[in-house]
Amino acid sequence: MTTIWATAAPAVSASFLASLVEMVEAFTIVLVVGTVQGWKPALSGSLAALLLLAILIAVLGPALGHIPLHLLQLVIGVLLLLFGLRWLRKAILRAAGLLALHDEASAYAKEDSRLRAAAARDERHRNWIAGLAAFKAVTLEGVEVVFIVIAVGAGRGLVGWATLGAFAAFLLVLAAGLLVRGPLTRVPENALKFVVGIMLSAFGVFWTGEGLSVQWPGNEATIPFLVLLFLVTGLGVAGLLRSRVRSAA
Amino acid sequence: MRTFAAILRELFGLFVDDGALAILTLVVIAIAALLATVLHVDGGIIGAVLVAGSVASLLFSVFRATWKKGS
Repeated sequence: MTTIWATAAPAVSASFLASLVEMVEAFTIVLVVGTVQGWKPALSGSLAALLLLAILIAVLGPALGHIPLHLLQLVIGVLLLLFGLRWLRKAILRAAGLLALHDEASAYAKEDSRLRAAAARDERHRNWIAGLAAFKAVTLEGVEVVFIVIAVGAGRGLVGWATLGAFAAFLLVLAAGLLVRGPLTRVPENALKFVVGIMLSAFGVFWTGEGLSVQWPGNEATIPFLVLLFLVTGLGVAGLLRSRVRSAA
Repeated sequence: MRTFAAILRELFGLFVDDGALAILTLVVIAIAALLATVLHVDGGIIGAVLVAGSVASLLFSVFRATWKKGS
């Protein structure tokens, strides 16, 4: 059990943390729709999106089994590297004060005014517009969750474990949302994105290497070292840039 | 239809935000693939190219953003 957990822990934690960020963002939009236009379009839009995601998983899941393992690892590694480095870059720039932090309260206010304006323009289709907003948000964030679950799990047959991480994030966001009944502004989103960016970049380098038949020293034991490397790089650069920004101000 | 177009646009944006970072990353992977498949270089060197190249791409992209902000 300890061995299984040691192998699965990086996939579960990466999937949990990344899904947490995505689900908080989707929750904010669904909450706006529910508050502005009622829970019927909010829930029907969300359910339609979940249905689409379920179809996507049903189609993609079995197809993955037919792809040669090395090719699968390479494709997943490349996509993870692009995805992870993008998140890490943004998190570094935000931590350094060069990019504005993502703010759920302002995202809520922006979507609220956008939805009210759209509903005022087209009175007859207010429910449809609101449902579409919820559908779009849940689909977009959900696709990211599906990608992350597949990406961190498929290379070593850990999709089930990664799904567990995503499901735990879903339950946590749902519970926090029911408790707070407002946008989840206290989630340290940039810190989470920093950590997830580091983990996904490390996974990305590892899987790309595996796809190219690189024999990493200690196999999966390389991943913590890659995580450490990206962590030190990220924190170092963010600290350097922050001190530069402060001295320039 | 517009919603699906927006979804597709945002899907592309999942992987590509700063074009230079995406291109540099793909160049690093292409070099590693070339070393592995054509030149049959030792796996350790390919791994080192991937690690160093990814970190260098990230650093270049971050500092490029700060130069842009400064100019």
